[in-house]
Amino acid sequence: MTAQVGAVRAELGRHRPRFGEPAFRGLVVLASLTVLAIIAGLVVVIATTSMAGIAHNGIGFLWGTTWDPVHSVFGALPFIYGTLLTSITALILSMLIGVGVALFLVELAPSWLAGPLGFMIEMLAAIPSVVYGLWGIFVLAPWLRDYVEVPLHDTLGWLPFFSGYPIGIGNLAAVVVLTIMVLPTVAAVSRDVVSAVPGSQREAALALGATRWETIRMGVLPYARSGILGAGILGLARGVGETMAVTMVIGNSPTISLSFLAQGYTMASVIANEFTEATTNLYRSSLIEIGLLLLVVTLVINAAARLLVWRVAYTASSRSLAA
Amino acid sequence: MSSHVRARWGALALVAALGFGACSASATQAPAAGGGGAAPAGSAAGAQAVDYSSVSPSTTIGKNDKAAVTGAGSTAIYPWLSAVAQIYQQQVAPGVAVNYQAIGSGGGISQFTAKTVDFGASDIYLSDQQEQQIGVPVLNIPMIHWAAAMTYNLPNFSGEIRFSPATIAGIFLGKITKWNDPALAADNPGVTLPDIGITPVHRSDGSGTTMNFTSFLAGTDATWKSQVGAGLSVNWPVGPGGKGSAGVTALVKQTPGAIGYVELSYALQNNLPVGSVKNAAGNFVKPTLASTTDAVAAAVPNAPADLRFLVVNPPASYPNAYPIGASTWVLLYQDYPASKATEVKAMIDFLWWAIHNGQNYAAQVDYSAMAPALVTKAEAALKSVTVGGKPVLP
Amino acid sequence: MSGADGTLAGAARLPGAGIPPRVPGRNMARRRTTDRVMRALLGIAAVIAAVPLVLVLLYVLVQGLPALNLALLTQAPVPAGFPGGGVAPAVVGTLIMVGLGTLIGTPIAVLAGIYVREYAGGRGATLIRFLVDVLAGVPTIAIGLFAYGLVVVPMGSFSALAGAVALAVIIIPIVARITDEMLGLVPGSVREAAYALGIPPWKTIVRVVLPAASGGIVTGILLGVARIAGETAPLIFTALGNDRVSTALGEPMDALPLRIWVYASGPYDSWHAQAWAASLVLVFLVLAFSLLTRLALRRRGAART
Repeated sequence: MTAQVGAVRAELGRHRPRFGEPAFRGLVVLASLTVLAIIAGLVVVIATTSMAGIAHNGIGFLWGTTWDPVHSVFGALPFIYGTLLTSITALILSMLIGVGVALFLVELAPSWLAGPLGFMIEMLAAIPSVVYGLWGIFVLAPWLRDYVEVPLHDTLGWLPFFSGYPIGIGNLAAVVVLTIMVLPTVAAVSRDVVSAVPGSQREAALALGATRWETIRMGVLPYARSGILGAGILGLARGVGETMAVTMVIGNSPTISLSFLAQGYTMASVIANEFTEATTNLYRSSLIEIGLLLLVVTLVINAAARLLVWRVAYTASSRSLAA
Repeated sequence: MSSHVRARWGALALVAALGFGACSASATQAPAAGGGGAAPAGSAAGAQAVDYSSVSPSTTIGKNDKAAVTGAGSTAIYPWLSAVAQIYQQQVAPGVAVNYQAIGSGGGISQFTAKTVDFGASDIYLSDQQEQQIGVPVLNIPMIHWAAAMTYNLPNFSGEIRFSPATIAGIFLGKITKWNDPALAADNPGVTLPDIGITPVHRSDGSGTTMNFTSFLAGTDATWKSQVGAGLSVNWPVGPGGKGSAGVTALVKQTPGAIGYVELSYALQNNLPVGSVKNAAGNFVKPTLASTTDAVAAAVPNAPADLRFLVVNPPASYPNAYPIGASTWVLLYQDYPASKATEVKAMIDFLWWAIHNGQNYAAQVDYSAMAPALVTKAEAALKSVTVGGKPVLP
Repeated sequence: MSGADGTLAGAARLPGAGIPPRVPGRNMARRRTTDRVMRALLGIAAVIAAVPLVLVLLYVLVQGLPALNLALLTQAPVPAGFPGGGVAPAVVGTLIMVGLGTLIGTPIAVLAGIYVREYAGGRGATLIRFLVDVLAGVPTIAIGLFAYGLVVVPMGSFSALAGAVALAVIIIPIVARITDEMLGLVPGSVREAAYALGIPPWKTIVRVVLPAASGGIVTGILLGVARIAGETAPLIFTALGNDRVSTALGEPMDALPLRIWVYASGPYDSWHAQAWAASLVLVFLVLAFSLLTRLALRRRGAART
């Protein structure tokens, strides 16, 4: 018996070089370390290439309002502002819609509808950013101008939010495009979070005679709250980092305006637009400094969101990867 | 619109004809003849076309070259450069592929400085400081002249709009916000201007067009000079930015009430109207080949040996000159490493062809050809390029 | 989930069944109305969410189809403003750079996924999963800056290689995560059976576990390919673009998303038509890949439960 086992071992051993296990182990560890190295490398490479800018611009870079490459005055505030304005507004809109969709899919929709609808919203994430930009320029912006901005301007033009001349291209178009692009992230993660709410929560509420909405409001939402918050933060990270579609419709103007009809600029889009054209090292370095800022902000937002979502529904993150 | 469309098609037919086995002799003749026939109605200067075949006896200088040449820069020169690069490959040197990325003059200078391209192209010559930054001797070689046109989008308005420099400055400073502003009305007596908002569109990228345009404004308007100044990219007070000449043209085309400054052919090719601009003599002049050529004529006699000069704000002694003329320079290193010998020979041969035969295509795409005096200077500059210390051209 | 309104069926079996059910009172009508309104609003949210997809696809199809022909895919661009020509350099460039990016990124991703699922302890796995998730959230434009500093600056020129490196960084977290999940679906008994035969862990993984999960991993890779094929931002200052068909990895190269960006931002009608047609090609590829892979994943009961 032991002899037989030994024979089998020996037989197997012939096919097994001793270094097989440590070598393979080393390989997979190396691959994992590569992921770590990439993240570290991202920060290091971008930080070192932005050193000239950091040295020249100082801390005032963060609140400088003037972006004047000719005179080497670089202030990032217009881009930070534009990024925050568009992504936070888009986040609010996509949270309203996205959480609604998630609740509809999980709590209300019959499965013949929930499947295809959920699928469609996932597909929304698959469409390349540049295609949204193309659609934004030629379809969305003119439509917004004629049917949204002009009426808004005519009726509410006295509000600072709707002042200026409506031309379609601008903050509003960027917000709408961003909302569409952030929506799948928020909806997918929220759906997973809502799905993860134990059935007993609902049953208990229903048992108390709650209506369906009351069940959602009192049984489901409180339970899913931190996960939905995580979904929102993930959506924010996506909105902040989104580049192409926004670049194509926001109007590329480094000005700070409250108006949704005005043109703006975001951190990602100024890099996309001006990087290959930067005439001096300092100019390029300052653009990379914006990239560094963007990177740090998204790393922090993402890390926070992942931690929040993980607590609720681990698998959720896989879906948002595709987003 | 139709005349320009016809011109385009005419030029295309020409390209096609040349591509399909035209011999080199007829090739040098055909462009002049075709150019005359297909020249846009608006550009009377077509008639002034110089017979460049006399300047350049050799048209097959690079026919055995085989290399990919990479260049980047000016978007203003792109319609002409991309056309002549294609014609050159079809007609003269099948083995030479010129990959020109129209990323803006700023980008051209930056990539040229970083030595990531074989040549740069810029609508503004390199400053002393920029040359210093590059660290090796460089050449600014003019290629072509053109006009920065004020193009606009006014639906249901067929008249022609005239602009004085102060009005343009006012619009781009955000002080003039309506098309029927008194300042515009004063420039356009007897014209009923529409009551819609003005959206001034500028370049979002570093641009020689911007440099020429802002130099023109800084030279004519004190407020502009003190508040904004002149540069490849400036701190724009108002309005959306478009990426490249194409981006500005696209924004103007899509935005009712918009106005922008672009190289003339971008406006004409897209059937956008162009305004006249008041020059030093007090005349409102439309950007045409003739008025651009006049502006160039004013500038060329004063062109220094290093070929760095501007063609904005010609003096009043040129009453018909368009005030916002511009040139595009190709930026070369004085000496290239020997390892690049093949590419550099192909590039210099192509540029030699471009400053001679290539000029024949200028009028068709609404550019002004170089004056013969300037061509001679450009020739000398091209001849001075070396590879590993040895001249490329005989 | 059964029943629309609060049914009391089964209440007795629930914890808390001791609480007497509330008798529908006078405000029941109001509660019912609120319920209907809120449910309608949730339904409307779902409709609103689905509308953009339909609109974008519709426009891409309607605008893109007329300009879609063989010349578009096989011819190089003509000089600006001239009619005709195509986006062949972009088609070739996208194939090359996406292929190369996948080749570089996938092995790293699969191996990292194996480490997380098969080797790492609880803490190590959590850390790497976390890093993978964080990497997935890095804006692609920042990844472009990274590739610029890493490849373009040392090489001294824009290149297809730099573009491929940027795309590889983007595909890694997608594939790593899916490998991790797919390996998790392989029953532990399979591994135990192999161990019982004395097969060492690494061989068990390579010969037994990995083949069992390979279908899922391959679909994951396709999903990643679909994703990076549509990326523009990381290519702007790495691959730069090229008007000519180029296959040289050390030279600038075109890509479909880059070409769409340039053409969409330009003024020429012919450019716009070609941008729509190129978008149609891109969207078709991306959606077909996503569709197939998601259906495949769903059949495996993977990410979806």
